[in-house]
Amino acid sequence: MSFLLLCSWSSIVIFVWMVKRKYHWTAPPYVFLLIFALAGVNSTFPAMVTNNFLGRETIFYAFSPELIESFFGFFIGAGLGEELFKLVGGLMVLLLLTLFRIDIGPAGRYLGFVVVGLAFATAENLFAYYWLEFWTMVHRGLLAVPFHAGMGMVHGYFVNMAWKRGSPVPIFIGYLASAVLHTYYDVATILSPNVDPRLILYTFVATLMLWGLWQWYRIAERVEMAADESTEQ
Amino acid sequence: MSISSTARAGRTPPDGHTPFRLVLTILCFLMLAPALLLGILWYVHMKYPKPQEDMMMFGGMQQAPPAPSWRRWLEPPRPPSQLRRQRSGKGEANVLREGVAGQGTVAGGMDPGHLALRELAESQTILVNQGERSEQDAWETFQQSSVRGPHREYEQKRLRSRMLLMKFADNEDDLAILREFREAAVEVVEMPLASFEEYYYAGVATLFSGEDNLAREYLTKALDQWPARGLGYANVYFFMLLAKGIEPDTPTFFRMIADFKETYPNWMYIETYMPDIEHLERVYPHAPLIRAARGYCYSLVYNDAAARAAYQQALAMSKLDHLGRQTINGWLSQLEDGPS
Repeated sequence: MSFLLLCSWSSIVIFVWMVKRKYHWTAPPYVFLLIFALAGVNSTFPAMVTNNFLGRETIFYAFSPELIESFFGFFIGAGLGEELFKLVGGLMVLLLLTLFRIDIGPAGRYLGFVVVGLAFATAENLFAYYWLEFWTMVHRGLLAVPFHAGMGMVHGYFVNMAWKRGSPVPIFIGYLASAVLHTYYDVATILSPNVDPRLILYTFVATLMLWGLWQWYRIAERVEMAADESTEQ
Repeated sequence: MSISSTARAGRTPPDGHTPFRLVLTILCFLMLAPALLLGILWYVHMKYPKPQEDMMMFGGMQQAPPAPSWRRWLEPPRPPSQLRRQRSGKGEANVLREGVAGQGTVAGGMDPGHLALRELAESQTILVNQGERSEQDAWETFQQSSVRGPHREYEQKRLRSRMLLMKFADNEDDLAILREFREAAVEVVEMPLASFEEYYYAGVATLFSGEDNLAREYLTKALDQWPARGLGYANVYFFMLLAKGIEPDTPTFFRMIADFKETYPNWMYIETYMPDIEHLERVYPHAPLIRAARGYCYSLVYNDAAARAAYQQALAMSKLDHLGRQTINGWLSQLEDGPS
């Protein structure tokens, strides 16, 4: 139980904080968010397969001593792979909701992708990093989990944009943007060996979160309000 | 009372676009993006496959792990619960066949970077053991390795522990080395990846350092996790037997010593393990059951005089309880009367 808490405390804090800051008059779509969370957990498995495939079958092993191999290992595995599976997981839920003509609004979609990221980070802690030491897990709670939440914010932002425009192009842009950001997060310390890694990573994650929370602040709470905004535009 | 936004969502047109268009938007991405990733993976697999000798990175001293099916990509390190199941008779053969490293981690499921570090550390340990490299050189070689990753700290501590183990084996009476070895061995078992072997060494180090409670804790874990029943297991059993004698857990000690001959295949080579018993007698001067163990081992090889002397030393100690006194007296009378 305590281990589960160690893996998930940060996700819970971020989720509760985001819900408390946004939903003043309505309730969040908890049932659908639960489905988003399941999608997030499920997306860890193909991501693990991809990362292991790269490390075992190709030269692009993420922890390779060769910088180029390591870079592409992170870019293809963590960047393109993990971000794709999270995005696909969230989009599958959205696809189902759209087929049933249920609209959870921009806030619901945004939060949905954040939940995918948080569930992914928690599942990653549980399944892939359970052997790490206590303080490393605490650091993951302060870095990796908010980072995945930030990636969810990037996804949510661009999916909302695609929703507004009725075009898949923003989703592709969001996907590539998140892949690049994820790669940077993973290789930042390698690219700047003389700088304290904590300084780079905490600054990066804090900036990402600030941007994401600013976007969250700008999104309307209710579906009607969002629709009105959209119509006015 | 708040109202669920989704409850009335159906009445609202989704951002002005028809559901059909939105479904098409999603499907477009769902079809194209995974295809893109699959294409990239296929390309790098074809164009940049991992050379087999690269699996070990440092000279290819070991074959790449067998790769019979796609499942291996999914194989995570084994959880402790699975390892406990494997401890049972059914699982032993499997563990041995696959090779064990870390906390139940099979070589086939090891992270390649971890595997490379282990390979490097093992090769350095072998070279130092053979006298072909100095410890300093071996240590520097390991430090200079550019393999990064989360396992580095564990492998570094493990290598230090191995180096000190060798030193300790050569200088058992050097307390400074023992102290260093004990510190290194305990550091390794405090890490989550610690294996049964690490628990064994930590058990031995703490036992020789006079911390028998800690030693029993580690040796119990080593015995529980040891995946085979050969000489390695027998060594753990031997030290556990002595640790039980120091405690003293008299009934367990006598039960274990009764099975000693069956469990310890090298019981007749008394010169190999008697120095350890004598060493522990010096560390624990008031433990009568250690003397009893010495006497029992001498009696196995028909050195009756040495056995009798050891039993008498044990009987002369005030700490010997009633059960111990009774059993050792029985052994003594067997020596006098011959086997019953």
